[in-house]
Amino acid sequence: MTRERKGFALALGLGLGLLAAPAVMAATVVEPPASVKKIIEERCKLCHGRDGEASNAIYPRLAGQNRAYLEKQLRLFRSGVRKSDIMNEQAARLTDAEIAALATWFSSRPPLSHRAPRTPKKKLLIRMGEYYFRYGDGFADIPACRECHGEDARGSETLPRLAGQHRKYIVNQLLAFQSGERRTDNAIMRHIARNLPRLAMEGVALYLSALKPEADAQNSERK
Amino acid sequence: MGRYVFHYGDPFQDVPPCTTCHGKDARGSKTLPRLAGQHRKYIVNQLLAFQSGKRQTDNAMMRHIARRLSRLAMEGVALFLSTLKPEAGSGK
Repeated sequence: MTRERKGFALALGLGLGLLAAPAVMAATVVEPPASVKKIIEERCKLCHGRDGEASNAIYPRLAGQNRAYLEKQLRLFRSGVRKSDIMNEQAARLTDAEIAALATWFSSRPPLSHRAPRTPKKKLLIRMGEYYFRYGDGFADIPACRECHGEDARGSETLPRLAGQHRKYIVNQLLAFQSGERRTDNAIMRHIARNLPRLAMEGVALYLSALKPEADAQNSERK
Repeated sequence: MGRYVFHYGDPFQDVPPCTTCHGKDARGSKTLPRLAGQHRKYIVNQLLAFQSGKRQTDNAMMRHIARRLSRLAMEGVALFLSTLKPEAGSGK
């Protein structure tokens, strides 16, 4: 719900070529403060891209990711609870205010998608992924992804958006949940990932990565 | 999902496509069974039997395969196979 407003406010601000859009929701900032801009330009951009587009699949796309989720992850990286060689170091010296601003920035970036694959094999794989997304696996007690992550995989305030994320990154996180390597946010994800065969992970990840961004969608109230 | 597994197997677990042995149209061969049009439930039960070891006949490959198939995948494949239309004139 906030993202559509942010998207609109952002477009408005850019259209006028102006500064901060009206702060409808808390901290709706078009341009981050200079110090944070510096962080983005000098560090975040290198892997995640200035607008969070992350051209390399190793690094997650941040564009359009939920603000609260981003903030939480940065804090977890900073404290080391969520382990990542790169991110632990990158986040180590961030202040609370910087984290909040970074989360706001990337969450306000327009979400992206991936071109849907066209080979027959990949098309079938996507349909497999869609099956899991919509229905889960009743035989293995896996709930449908959309139940928590939303009908359009846009997540919620606390749960991450999955739509448009890199396929490979999703698979890696699922594997990390499965192996126990990722211990954050894993209350349910661990159970799920342990019962998902790799093939299903790949199918779901492919499906999610190709979901179209809602910039094209008409209704803004669908959750 | 069933169609995928039928045509492509599960490359992540060394499960070959069903077509490799059971034929492009699942009609089987001289020695391997036709699967096209078989009862969905029967296929699932046989796969489970291969998986558990309960069925020990013809299981050289099938045991390996069934052990790597999730139940959901079995159901998908079985459903797909059960819907395959019979061919006009009988084959070989």
